[in-house]
Amino acid sequence: MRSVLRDERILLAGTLVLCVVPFVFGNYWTGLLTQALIFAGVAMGLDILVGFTGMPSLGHAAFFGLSGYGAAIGIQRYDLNPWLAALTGILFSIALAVLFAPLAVRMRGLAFLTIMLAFGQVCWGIATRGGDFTGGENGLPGIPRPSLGLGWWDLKTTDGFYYFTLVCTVLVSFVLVRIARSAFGASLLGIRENETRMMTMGYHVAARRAAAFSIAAGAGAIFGVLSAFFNGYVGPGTLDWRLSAQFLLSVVIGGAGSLWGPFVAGGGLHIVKTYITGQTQYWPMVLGALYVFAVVVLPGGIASLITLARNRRNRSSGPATGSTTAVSSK
Amino acid sequence: MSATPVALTVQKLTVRFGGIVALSDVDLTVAKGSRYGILGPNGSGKTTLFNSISGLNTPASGTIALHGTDVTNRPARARAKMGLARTFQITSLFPSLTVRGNVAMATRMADGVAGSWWKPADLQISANDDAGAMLEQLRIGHLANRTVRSLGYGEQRQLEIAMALATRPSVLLLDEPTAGLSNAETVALTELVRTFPKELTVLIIEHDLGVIFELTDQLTVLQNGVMIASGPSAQIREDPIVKEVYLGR
Amino acid sequence: MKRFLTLFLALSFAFTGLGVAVAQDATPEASGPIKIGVLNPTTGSFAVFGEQVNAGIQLYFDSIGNEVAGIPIELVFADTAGDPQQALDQARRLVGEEDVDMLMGIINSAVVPPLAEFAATEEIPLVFSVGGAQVATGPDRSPYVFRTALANGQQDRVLGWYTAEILGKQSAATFAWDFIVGEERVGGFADTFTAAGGEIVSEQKPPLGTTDYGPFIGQVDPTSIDVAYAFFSGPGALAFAQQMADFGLTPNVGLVASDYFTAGILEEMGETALGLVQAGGYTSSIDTPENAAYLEAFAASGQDRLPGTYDYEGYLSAMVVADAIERAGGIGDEQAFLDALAAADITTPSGQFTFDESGQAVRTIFVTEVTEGDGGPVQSIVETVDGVGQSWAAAG
Repeated sequence: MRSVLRDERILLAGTLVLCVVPFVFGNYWTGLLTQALIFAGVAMGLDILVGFTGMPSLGHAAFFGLSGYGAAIGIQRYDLNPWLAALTGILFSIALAVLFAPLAVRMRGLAFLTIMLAFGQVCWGIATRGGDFTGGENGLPGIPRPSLGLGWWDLKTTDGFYYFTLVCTVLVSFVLVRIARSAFGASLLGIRENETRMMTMGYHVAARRAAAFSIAAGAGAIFGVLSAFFNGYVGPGTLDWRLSAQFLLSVVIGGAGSLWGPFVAGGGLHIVKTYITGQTQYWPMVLGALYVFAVVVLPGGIASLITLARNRRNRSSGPATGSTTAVSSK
Repeated sequence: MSATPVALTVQKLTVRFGGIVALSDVDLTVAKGSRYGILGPNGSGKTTLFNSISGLNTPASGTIALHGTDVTNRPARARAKMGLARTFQITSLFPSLTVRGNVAMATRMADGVAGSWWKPADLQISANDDAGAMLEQLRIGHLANRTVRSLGYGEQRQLEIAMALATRPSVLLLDEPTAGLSNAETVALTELVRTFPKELTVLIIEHDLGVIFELTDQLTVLQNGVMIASGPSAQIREDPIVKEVYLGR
Repeated sequence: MKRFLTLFLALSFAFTGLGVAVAQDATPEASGPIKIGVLNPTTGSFAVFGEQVNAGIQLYFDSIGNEVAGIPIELVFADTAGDPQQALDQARRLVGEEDVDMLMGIINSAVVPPLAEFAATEEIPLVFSVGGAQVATGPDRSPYVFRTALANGQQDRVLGWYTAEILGKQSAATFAWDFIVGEERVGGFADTFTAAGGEIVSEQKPPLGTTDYGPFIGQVDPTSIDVAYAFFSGPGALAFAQQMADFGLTPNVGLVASDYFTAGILEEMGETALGLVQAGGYTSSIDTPENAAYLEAFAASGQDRLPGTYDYEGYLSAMVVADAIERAGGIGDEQAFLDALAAADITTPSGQFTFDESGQAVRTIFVTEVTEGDGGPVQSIVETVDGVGQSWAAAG
């Protein structure tokens, strides 16, 4: 039983819960959740590419970082209004994705993973070697947050920026959910499962892969700008392949193709990592073990917990409908 | 030859894979509404021919025309949009999707809503209804909510055909539709093909001679990528060469 | 669908409970200890340096009984892994959750700008124990930011002057890893070297971490230069020295270097190390009572080696911080503490220590030369220059 409004309900419930955070928690948790929401949104967007279309990317941080760079450079080098700079950064990142997509989507599997890794490293290299323009290894500190022009909603405060991030997250995840559930989203699943069949049914597989690529990049770009404003800083680290790996890992641990799974994992991993790092100097081992544990115990990711719970309930309350076993056809 | 419109023309088609010649100078003229059989031993180039017609490989030379339009250099999706559909010898479905989801992938394309990116696919009522109707027509309506992975082989073969039909093709290529089916299932499938609309052009690769002589009116026999006979089925049946290379196998 | 709502509500209650617990935990006591957040990489490629700086900071506070101005000092360590994002996350945790009064540490240059930005916006005092990126104490420096370590190139300014003026070298080639630290350090050297009449004939920039310098050394005509400047560390430094020797350029015909040719590397170099000139902010051969006391404390902490730059910089930064806390009578009055820091004037194991108006340390620079010692090569101080700031130039 899958209600048409399932995702809307999740979204609404999640939003309500997240709305109370600043009232209950201190500034620290609100700030931590801001960064967590940012990573959650990137992971959710990446799921469109990885989970739906079956294209695992190790260069996704490039779109995340470049939009931040675009915004920072717009503000610091061209005196752009921060909103205009943010838009410029996002459009720059998306434009790059659209331009690179025709080449990237010709690759499959490991080749795609590798070319995206290379793409990310080229962006990293350009940022690092960009001299004063990109700030080189220093990156660009001192990015001012924009103003909404509302006295009661100041983005310079932790709570104010948290709510702004929350609004963006809700909007982006709503759009992503709708896209995923649409005929277009279904066609991405088809491409993942059987590209040849899709072609012989009249689908423009390359164009749809490119669109998925650009949508994922677009989500990354929006949250990249938010991250730049939140931290007041962009640096080469925001383009680093290790960040790309973290995003990809979030999708896998969350459950590729489930959208909410990667969202929870993207934010959750950040919180868990920040927490464990503060507890033990052996945090890389603890985190690594946790990742392995998650993948071994839940090969379908966090999202499969829900399926498991549903199946268990179904089993105890009557004949199963969700996971019927194969019936031979005699 | 006659006034009957031609659905598909293949001329001097040659396909090479590296140094191997998979097809050599193959010619086909398939009249609209005909039932056209392709016969030949394993490795004779039958599936390669279907791949060429549907645009999944690049011929070294020759031309392919669909409804009088040269499509040799058009991609598979363009040929599909011109009314070409096919099934695969090795079942080619979307294993993790439901049966209805599989067929809807085709009906959404036929309904022109496959590009919709905002409206939930579940709410594409007419495409979903069409998918349901297609499943009913193939008598697999009861399987609609099952995932393909959980289907039996025979059911998957039926779905394979349902998906091809659901795109509402004018030319349908069936690649060994009865492969692996039981006798009863083969009979049912033969019956199904009989019910296809008269104006639908059907090309069929088949090993089961009973099926092929029952269903087809025209036949082409391939061996090692070369056409060794072509003509009305009844005639081919009596052809001594064909008897030797194929029937007497 | 109810299940999801239930799940979310359950989660929100769980978080609420946690939040209350956290909030109660973090309630500051009226006269609690001074909490200092120490942010250094203890994993990743900078881990060795991070551990040494951590130990140096701990060593100094231990030596004064972990108490300043009658207030106990509590150190809270966190790992940056050398990664800017993680450094920011941990800085937020230290400030927001651990409720620290100030931050120190850092190490690698990449983390310097974001942390400086963080200190400025969060208005939390930050002392860079190590981390040379010049920008932190440049024109846009925040009043919350200080650096007790040398800014990139600060010591090289003395080296450039010394090479031209005292050693009388006229033309130099520079070899430095191609990243910001190399660039800033070569810049310092070139600045004073050319000001004293020298000429930089060639600037070679091998990629960071490379150990094969043949292609780069080969581009320089050895007869056209009378000195080479090198900025490399670890195995790279050793490989460079050996490959230079293969090309006939041993230190005694002119090799000056950043202060990363440590005792261990010099030992490996053996005879070929003789004559190598370096400049730095600390060397264990400084002959003062303060340094003798430091060496003793270092040895007493269980170390069977002599302290190096990172051991000392940690120790020094703690010393400067403790001194400012002492004079400000605590850290509760933040402005008084920042003012006290700015007014530092301390006799340290490495000489007199003050800050310039940008929060950058003004320190003594020691020029050393490798000479024959009893058990192998030793670094002897050949020149001491006091009061070196980040834009130092030779008088006259």
